[in-house]
Amino acid sequence: MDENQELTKLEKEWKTHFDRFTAPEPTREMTLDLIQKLKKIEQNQSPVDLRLELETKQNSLSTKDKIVNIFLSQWNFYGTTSWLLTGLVMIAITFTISENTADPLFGFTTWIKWITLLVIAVIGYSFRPKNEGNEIIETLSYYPIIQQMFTRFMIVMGFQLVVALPLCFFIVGRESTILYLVSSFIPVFFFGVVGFVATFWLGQKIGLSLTLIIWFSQVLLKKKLLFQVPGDDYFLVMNMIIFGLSILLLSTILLKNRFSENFK
Amino acid sequence: MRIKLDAVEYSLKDIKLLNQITCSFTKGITYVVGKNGAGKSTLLKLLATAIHPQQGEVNFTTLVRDENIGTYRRKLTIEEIRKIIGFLPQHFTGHSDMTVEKYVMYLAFHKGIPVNLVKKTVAQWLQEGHLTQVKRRKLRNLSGGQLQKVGLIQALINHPRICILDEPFEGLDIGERIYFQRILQRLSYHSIIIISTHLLNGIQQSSEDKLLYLSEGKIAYFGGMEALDAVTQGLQE
Repeated sequence: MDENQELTKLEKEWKTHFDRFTAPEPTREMTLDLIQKLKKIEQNQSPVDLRLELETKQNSLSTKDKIVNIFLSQWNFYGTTSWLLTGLVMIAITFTISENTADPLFGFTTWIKWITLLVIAVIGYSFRPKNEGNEIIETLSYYPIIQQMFTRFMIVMGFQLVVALPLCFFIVGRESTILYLVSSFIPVFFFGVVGFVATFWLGQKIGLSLTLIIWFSQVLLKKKLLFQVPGDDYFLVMNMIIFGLSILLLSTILLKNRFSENFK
Repeated sequence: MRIKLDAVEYSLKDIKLLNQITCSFTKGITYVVGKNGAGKSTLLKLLATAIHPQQGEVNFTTLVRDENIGTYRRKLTIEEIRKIIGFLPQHFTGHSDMTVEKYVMYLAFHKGIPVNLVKKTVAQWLQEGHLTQVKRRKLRNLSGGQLQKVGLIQALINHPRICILDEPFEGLDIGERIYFQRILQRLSYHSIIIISTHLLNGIQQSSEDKLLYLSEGKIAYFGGMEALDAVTQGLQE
């Protein structure tokens, strides 16, 4: 007897029991058993819950897999072609300056200015404004918006530092020391952080304008603060201050996240 | 899963777009209809957590069965909600400089689809959506219907528990519309689906579906599909 027939039989038995009180009442076990069977039928008839399957797979992901996932989502936003172009522009700047400048110290100062300007441009492109629809779609992500932005920042900075640091040796040539690495790293990191934090707090247009104002002030002013080279009077102290300031600026992101959560 | 709106109000530049909205959504399809400016898109954005109500509350809850405590409703956090929503904006553009394949892949990663499944999932959706031939074309070079299909795919790719679609069938031919309606019907067994549409003729009536008629930011009707004809008449007047 299939489940449908069983159900009809039980329904008939209950009906007869209600019609004629003397008719025997079906057992509780029979009724409960049938309810379970009905539930099973319902489950079998409704389509597979694909979301549940996906969530099971997502829950089994390791931290490493999750990091790879978020990394790829943010990498794809900038696009491999754009990354290649950025790398090529950095190489072009390096070789143009190294071929046309005899004095390595002067060459390095010019090089770091152009490289930091490129960093600002890349930050601007990576955090370019989107229309309302795209912004909503990207907010409705598996990853909170703060994680997305921070990962994108890490990719932008990581890529540019990895390319810029070896290139600085082409500029300074025989003068190369570990201190030149510091002089390359700190301004690149600083302008990256300022660009990112200003964009995060003030939006792309104001944030980028503010970063450019800081960059131009350093290029046009005679007093060097950000573009220090080994041998300058306060080289290490200034670099440490700039690095500390960058870290402080970066940590304000966490503050904004907490602030907006409380606000909500 | 349940979304409950309680006396929700939302204004923009002193214009009340939503006024005292009280209703709740459970699994199944709900069609949101109304004239232009009735507040449909605002309501959908509010349900997608893109905007927040100025008055009233929107609560997302799920039923939890605990052996010790019993069954109770748990309020979801904003992060939990955003993980399970699929959203199609009214004028979907995507990132126009990305190719179809890159964009869908980008969103698949965004939605947390495991890396080893992304390629397969994207290929399957593109094939079923008849987009394989244009997968290397940039979004800005697609026709209106093709772009709309990309928009629908990004909204459905993670089988969302809450699916919010603003004018999803705009620009689709009848075959494509039937294809996506079938997917939505299947999804509605387990998910809340909210569709804003002005294509009332295209609504496939089902006794399970619901209808929400908005008029000047207020709910004029919320109930079963039996009132569809009356609502259609009201919209035409």
